[in-house]
Amino acid sequence: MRSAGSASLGPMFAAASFLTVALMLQPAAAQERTLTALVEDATLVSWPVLEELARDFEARHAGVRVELLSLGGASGTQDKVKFMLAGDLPLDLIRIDVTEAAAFLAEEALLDLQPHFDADVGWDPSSIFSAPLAACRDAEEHLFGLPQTFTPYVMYVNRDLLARTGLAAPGADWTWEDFLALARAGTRDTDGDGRTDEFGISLTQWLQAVVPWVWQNGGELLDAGGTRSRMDEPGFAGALAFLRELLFEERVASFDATFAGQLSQGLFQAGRALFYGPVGYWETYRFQHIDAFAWDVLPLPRGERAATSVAMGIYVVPRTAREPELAYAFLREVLCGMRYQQLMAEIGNGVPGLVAAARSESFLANPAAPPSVEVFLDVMDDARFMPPLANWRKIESLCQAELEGVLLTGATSAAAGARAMAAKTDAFLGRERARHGRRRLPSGAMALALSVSLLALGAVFLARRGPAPPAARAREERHAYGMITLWALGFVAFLFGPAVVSLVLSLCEWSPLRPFGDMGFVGGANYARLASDPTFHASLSATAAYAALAVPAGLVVALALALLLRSPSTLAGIVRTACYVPAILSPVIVAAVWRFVFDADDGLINRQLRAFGAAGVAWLREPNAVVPAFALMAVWGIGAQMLVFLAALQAIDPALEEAARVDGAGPWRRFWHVILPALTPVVLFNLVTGTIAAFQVFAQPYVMTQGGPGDASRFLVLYLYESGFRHLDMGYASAIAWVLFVILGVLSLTLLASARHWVHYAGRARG
Amino acid sequence: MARVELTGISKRYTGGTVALDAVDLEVAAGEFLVLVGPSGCGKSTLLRIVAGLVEASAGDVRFDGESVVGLEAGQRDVAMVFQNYALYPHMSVAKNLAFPLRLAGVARAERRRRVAETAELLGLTELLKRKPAQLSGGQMQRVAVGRAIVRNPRVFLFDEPLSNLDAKLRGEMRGELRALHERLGITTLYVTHDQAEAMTLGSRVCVLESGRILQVGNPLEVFERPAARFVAGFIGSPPMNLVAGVARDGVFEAGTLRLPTAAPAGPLVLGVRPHDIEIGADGSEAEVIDVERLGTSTQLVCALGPVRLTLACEGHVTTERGERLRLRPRPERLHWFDPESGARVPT
Repeated sequence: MRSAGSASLGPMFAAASFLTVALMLQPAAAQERTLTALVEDATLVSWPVLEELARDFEARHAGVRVELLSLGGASGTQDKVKFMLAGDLPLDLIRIDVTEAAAFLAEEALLDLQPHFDADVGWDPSSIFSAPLAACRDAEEHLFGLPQTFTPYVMYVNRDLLARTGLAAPGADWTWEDFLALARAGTRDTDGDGRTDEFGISLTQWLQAVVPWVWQNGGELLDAGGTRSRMDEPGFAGALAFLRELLFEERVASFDATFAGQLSQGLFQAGRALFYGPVGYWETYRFQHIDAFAWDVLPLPRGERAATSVAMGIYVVPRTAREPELAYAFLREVLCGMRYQQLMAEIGNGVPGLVAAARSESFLANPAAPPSVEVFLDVMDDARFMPPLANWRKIESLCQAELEGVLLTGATSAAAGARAMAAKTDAFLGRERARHGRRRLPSGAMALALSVSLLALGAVFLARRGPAPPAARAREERHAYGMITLWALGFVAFLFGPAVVSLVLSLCEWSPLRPFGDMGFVGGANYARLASDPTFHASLSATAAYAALAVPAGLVVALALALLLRSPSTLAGIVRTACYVPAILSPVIVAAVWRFVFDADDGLINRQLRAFGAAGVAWLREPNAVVPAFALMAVWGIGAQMLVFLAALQAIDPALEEAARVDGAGPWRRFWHVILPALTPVVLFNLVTGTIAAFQVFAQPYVMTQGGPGDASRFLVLYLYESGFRHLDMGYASAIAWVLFVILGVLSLTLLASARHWVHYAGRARG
Repeated sequence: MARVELTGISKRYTGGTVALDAVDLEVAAGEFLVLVGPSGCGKSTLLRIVAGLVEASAGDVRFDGESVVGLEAGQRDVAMVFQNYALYPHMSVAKNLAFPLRLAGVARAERRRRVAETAELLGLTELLKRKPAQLSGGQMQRVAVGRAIVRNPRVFLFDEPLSNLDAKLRGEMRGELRALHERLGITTLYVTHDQAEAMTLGSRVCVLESGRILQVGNPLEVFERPAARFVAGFIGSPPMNLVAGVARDGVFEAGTLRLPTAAPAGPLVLGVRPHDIEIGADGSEAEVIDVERLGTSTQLVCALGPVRLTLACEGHVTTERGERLRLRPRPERLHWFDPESGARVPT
C-alpha cells in the first residue's frame, strides 16, 4: 500500500507542475477593446476626475474599456513606465517627463502622432502654449505628444520676512545684486546661539534648478548640436561660483529639502527662509496650507539676462500601443478639455498646457495659488527646456554627482567642478558617438545561447549523475525528480534562463524600450567601458568599503547580542524579539525611518551628539560619513544573523563550558577556546551570506541618498539599476551584474577555501 | 589529595523544587566515595556543588577544612569527568590533555612531558594527534580521564562516566578506574545510578534519595544492613524482596507466609534477599509462577497467596512453572522495616 501511494506521488507532482504552468500561459479570453493608460497617480485628487472622463469616453465609444493604471508616487513614476514597457506590458497612453522624450524617440519607442493631428479637424495648435507644444515635436517637427501641465522655475518669497528686512520689495526685473542684498538682510540668528535661524534663501540644487543661474550668467550646458559640453566656460563656472558663495561664504543660503533625497526640509514652510527656489508651480500644492505668513512668487532674479528652465509632463503614445487611435482620442479629450486642465490648475499640479485653462479663473484666481500667479505665465518668454538629448538623464546624473561636490559638501571649487562636469560629459558624449554603427545581434542568437546553455546544463547533470543505480534506487530517484519538477521549471524559467539572457545582453547594447530581439552586438565593449568608467570605479570602492565596514561590524554585534541574550529570561526574550524585528521590516521602511535618525539638523543622532556638546555630522551629505552611516544601519538590522548565532549557541553542549570552567578557564577563555571554535561554521555562514547581502545593498541608498553625495553611496546594484532603467542601458547594467557575480563568486569561494584553516565542524575533522 | 567535608548542603530552585536537603557528608583524603541513587535524587547536583559549577542555597563545602564556597570551579583544583566526556571537539587529544595545564600557565616543555606521561599511563600515545570525532567511546572516555588526571588535582569528580559505554567496555573501564585510583590515591567522588558500579568501585557508598542521604558505608555494610527500605530495594541484584505484612505476637504474617519476628506488633515490612530463601521440607507453601534461567543461577518467582517472593538458586534447577514448593527464608538474614518511615526496625 505504502509503496503504491508514494509511487503515484512523483508523477502527480509533475502533472500538477505542468498544469500550473499551462494555466499561467493560457491567454485571456478575447474581449472588448481595452485602452490602457498610465498617466496619473491614483492618490492624486485628480484621479476621480480622470476616471469620470474615462467613463464618459467609454460611453461614447461602444465596446471600449478604459483601464487607468496608477503611476505610483514620487521618483518611481519614471521608472515604472520603463519597467512596464520593458516587460512588454500593453500600454496605450503614458505620461513621461519632457526630458525623457528624446530618449524615447531615439529608441523609436514613441508613435508619431502627426498623422492623427493632421486628420483631426477639431485640432487647433494655438489652443496649447507654443513653447511647451514645440517641445512635443521631434526632429521632423512632427508632434509625438501633448503637454499635460508645465511649470517654469520661479522664486518663492516669504512676504512677512521680506517686510521685516525693511528693504523695498523686488520688482519683476530684480537682479542678482538686489537678490544678494535681500538675502543678506534676511539671514539672521534670532536667538543669538551662533547658529543661523533664518536664511536668505533655501536654495534648490538639482541640475534643472541650477541651470537658470547658468543661463542668466551667459553660460550654456552644451553647444547647439548637443555634441560638446560648454560647462568649462566662464558663464557656467561663474554661476556655480555665485551659488557656492551664497552657501559657504556669504552663508545666506541653506540646503534645500528635496535635494538628493535629503530630509532637512521645510525651511520655507517653517517660515525660516526669505526665499525658496528656483522651483516650480508644484510647490503651491504644498504651501497652500501655510497660514503663519504671507507668501508669493517672483520671477528669478536676472543676471546678464533673464532666464529660467521649464519642467513639463507630457502624454505620449508608445509605439507598441495596441489601440493607437483610441489612445490619441483619449489624449485629445483629456488634455484639450477644460475640465481636466482646470482641475490640474486648481490642485496646484502645474500650469495647464491648454491656454484657455491657464487664462481661466481656475488658474488666475485660484485661492490656493500665490497672489502673483501670473508670474508663471510671464516668465515663459525667457524660459527654456533642457536640451533634447537622448542620453540627457545620464548627463544629468553625471553632472549631479559633481554638482554635489560643489554645492552640497563644498569639497570642490566651482571651477574644478565645472571642469569635471565638462570632462565627464564630453567623455560620455564621445563614447556615445563611437557606439553608432553597431551590428545588430543576429536573430536567433539569443535562442541559440539559451538552447546551448540548457543543453550544457543537461550535460553537466547527466555527467554528474554517475552509473545507473539499482532498480529500487532508480524508482526512488524518479519520484524525487517528479517532486522537484516544479522547482526545476521555475529555476530554468526564472533564474537560469534570465541569467543566460543577461550574459548575452552584457555583450550587447539594448534599451528596454526597444523590442526584445532588437539589440546591437558590441562584444566586450560594455566590459571595456566598465574598466574606464569613473562612476563604476567609485561605485565599486563605495560598495567594497561598505562591505568591509558592515560585514565585520554586523558579525561582532550579532555575536555579542546573541551571547548576551542566550540565557532564557523574560527580558532576554523581549530584547531578542526587539533585535529581530528590524530584520523582518521592509528595507524601504527602515530607510525612511533612518532618514530621521541621520538627519543633519534635527536627526536623532545629531541631537544626542549636540546634547553632549559634540558637533553633529551631516551623515548623508558628507562623502566620508555616508558609507559608515549605511554600515551603522546595516548593523541595526542584524537580527537574522543574531538568531543564527543564538541557535548555534544553544546547540553547544553545556558540558563543554562546564569542563572548561573546571579546567580553570574564565569567561573570556571559555569564549575564545570553547564557544568561538564551536561557532566557526556559523561565523562562516554569516560571513558569506553577509558579504553577499552587503554587495547587493540597494533599497537603503535608493530611498535615502540616490547615490549621493557625489558618487559616495552609489553602490553597485544602485548603479546597475540606474544604468538599466534610468539610462536605458540594459547591456551595461547586465555587464555590471556579471562583474558583481564574479566578484561575489571569487569572494565566496575564497572565504570557503579559507574555511579549512579556521572553521571547526563538530563530528568531523577539518582538512 | 584532600579531605572533603559537606555540611548542611541544600539546593532549592526557583519554583520550589528541592534538589538537596541539608546533606552532611565527609570524604576522607584518598577515599573513593560513590554517590548512588535513582535519577533526580540530587547526586549530580551534589557533585556539581563540590565542583563549583552549581551554587548551593545553603551549607558549606570544605577541602581540608578550608571553605571553597565562593571559589570559581577553576580555582578549586578539582577535575571532573563528564557523562558525555565533554572533550573539546576542535582540539586534538594532545591539546585536550594539555588544555588545563595551558590555562594553569604550565610551561610548554613541562606540559608536553606531563601529557606524554598521562598518555602513556592510559594507552593514548598513538591517539595524541586525533580529534575526538575520530575516537571510539572507550578512547574518548580515556581521554576524558586523562584530562582529569593530567593536572594532578586535589579531588576527582566523576559524573556517570561509564553510562555511555556498552556493558563489556563498562566492566573493563571499572577495573581501570579502580586500578588508577589505587595508583594515584586521589580523593574521588563518583556519581552513578548503577548499584553494581557503586558496589564494585567505592571504598564507601553513599545512597541518596529525594535529596537526602539514606546511608553511607562500605559496600558490604550497605548490602548486609541496609539502613532503609529504599536502600534495601536499590542495592543488590536481583533486588531484595520487600513484603508488607503485620507483626502479631512475635509472628510476621503476610499471605500464607508466617515468620517469627522480634519486632513490635503492628504493620511491618519484611526484606529478604533472593539468595537468602531456602527450599526445603518445611516452611510456607508456595507456587512457582515464573522461572528465569540465567545460566549460573536460576530465579524463581513464587506466589504465597497474594505475596510474591523471588528466590535465586545457584546453577540450574529443574523446577517448572506450576510446581509447589516449601520456602524458608533464612531467619538470620531477615531485614525488618517500618512501613511508614521506611527505617530499619532494630531486632
